[in-house]
Parts: sequence; C-alpha cells; structure tokens
Amino acid sequence: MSSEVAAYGRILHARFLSGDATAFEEVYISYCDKVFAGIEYKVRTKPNLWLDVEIAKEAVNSAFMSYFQNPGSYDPEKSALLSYLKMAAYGDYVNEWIKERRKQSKVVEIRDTEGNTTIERIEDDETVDDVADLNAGNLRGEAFMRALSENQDELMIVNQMIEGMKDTQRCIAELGWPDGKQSVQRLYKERDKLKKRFKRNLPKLLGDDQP
Amino acid sequence: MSMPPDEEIKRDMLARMASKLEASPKSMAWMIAKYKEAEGIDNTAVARFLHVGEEQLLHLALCSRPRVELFNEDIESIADHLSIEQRPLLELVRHVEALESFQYASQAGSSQWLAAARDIAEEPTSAYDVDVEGAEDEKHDNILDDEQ
Repeated sequence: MSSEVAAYGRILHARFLSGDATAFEEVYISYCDKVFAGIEYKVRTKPNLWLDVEIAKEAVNSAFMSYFQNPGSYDPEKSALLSYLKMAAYGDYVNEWIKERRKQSKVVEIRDTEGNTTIERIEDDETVDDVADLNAGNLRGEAFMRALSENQDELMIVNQMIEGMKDTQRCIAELGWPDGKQSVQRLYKERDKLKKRFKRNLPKLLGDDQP
Repeated sequence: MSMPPDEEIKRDMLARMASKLEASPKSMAWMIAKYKEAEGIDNTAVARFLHVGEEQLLHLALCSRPRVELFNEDIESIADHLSIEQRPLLELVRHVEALESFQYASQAGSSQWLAAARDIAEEPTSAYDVDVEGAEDEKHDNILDDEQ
C-alpha cells in the first residue's frame, strides 16, 4: 500500500476522531469498493472459499459500522486505515460464510416410506446417538430395514448407528469409501439424513400408526 | 443506460450502510430516521424537503451529527461537502433536536409526576405516629386510673 494512501487514511481518521461531521462519509466513499475488492481478492486465493456477494456486502458494512461506533479500536501506528478495514471485513466475511455453509449443510433430503421427499433442517441439538439408544433387537427386522431404506450404504450406516459404532474411520472403511475429509463429511450428512428419516417414520416403521 | 455491476453493488452497499447507521444517534442517518418517523414521511419526501436527490440523501445519512459546540460550522461543512442547501438541513436537525429534548423533558416530567403521585398516595403512616397515639391513650388511661 502506498504511503500516500496510508497518509490519507491517517488524515481521515484524525478528522473523524476530532468529530468532523463529513469524515466518516469520506472514509466510506473512498474505501468501500476497495474493501469489497479486498474480500474478492482474498477469497480467490483460498481453495475452499468462494465469493458470496451478499455476505461480502454485509461484511464490508459491518467493518465500517464497527469503525463508526468505535474508531479508537483502530491504531494508526499499526496499520493503514484501509488495511485495517480490509482485514476486519475479511474476518467478518469468513465467519459469516462458514456460518452460512453450516446452515446449508444441515439441510437434508428426507424420503418417507411412500417415496415422498421433503427438505428438512437438522437442528443443533439433534444427535445421531439418539438412534443408537433405541432397542436394536426390536428394530432390525428385515421388513423394518427395507422400509427405512433400500440403499445398501444407508442400511449399513443404520446398522452402525444402532450398534453405537462411533469410530468414523472404521465406519468409512466398512463402507468401502475412500479415506479423507469428503467421506467424513458424507458420513455425517448420511447419518443426519437417516436419523431424521428414522424419527419421522418411526411410528409407521413400528406399525404404531395403525389404529 | 444500466449501471455497471460494481456501481450497483456500491449503491446497494451505501443504502444498506445508511440504514445500518439509523441505529446510531451519532449519525445523520439517525436524525433523518427520526424526522421521517415524526413527520410520517419517506425518503423521497425528506429528499424533496432538503432539495436533494435520494442518492445525496444516502451520503448525508453517512455524515456524523453536528457537534453542539460547533453546530453552525458543522452544518456549513456538511452542506458544502454535499453541495446542498444549509437552511433546510438546519431546519431538519433543529426539528429533531427539539423533538429529542421534548421527549426527554416529557419522560423526565412524567416520571417526576409519578414519583410525586406515589409520595402522596403511598406515604405510610409512621410507626412513631401510631405509637404516640397508643402511648397517649395509655397515658390518658393511667391518669384516669390515678384519679379513681
């Protein structure tokens, strides 16, 4: 960053601190697109991160809002104002982006026994352990399992869950999936999906819905 | 002619920033929001009152509220910076400040009235008063006994 830009930032910051009524507007107009571009650039250099324009817009404004509310948190001795805002916005962007990804990964497709599918959210307090708590002996009849799923992998995962098998790597090896993060993520998602399907269809699966 | 995407993003961000700043009483965005609320009008009407375009109104919203000790200078500086008329800007700010002090005074006033009302309605009879009356009766009875 050029020393001119840094000097301009220092002047703007000093003006804002002194209560100059137009200083913040000048900071925003001079820097907002640069801060946005900073997020775009950083995101491009990260393989597991991509640009979500809405999140980026919000992150940029959050950084400026924090600065407006507490300009003292910026130390001109440590960095240029633009670098400070870019860093704050990028931090906000990554946090929000991860939060959003998590929210989306918690959405699973649920298929009922009649083959209808719905999209449901897995709540934070729902754990797959609940499934293992059920009485395995009563629940693993062939007809029951068939009603739950006809997919071999899914059935194997249900068996693992009922047996309370928690060693993720062992489960993945049993399923014959390749080692790695992707398989772990896939297993977690499958477990969540099955658990949701299991809970949703439990009365029907057990025949409790019959009058 | 349509705006290039970057300009659209910038304008959208500016509008969102202005609305974010409405939460901060240190900003002109807050003052504009209070004025709109008091007058029951929207951005277009405020812009008309200030003789500015809606985009200029967003820039105004990003300015800080004029300082009490440098009020006239700050109004002048905002007006110069955004090339807007001083008079309507001054009127808007004064209007909101008047509303603010009226609200503050009426809140303080009503709480004082309530406190005063409570003092009258709930003033307890002091234990001392009760005892004195009882003591007086007892004293009177004793006198009567002595007299008998």
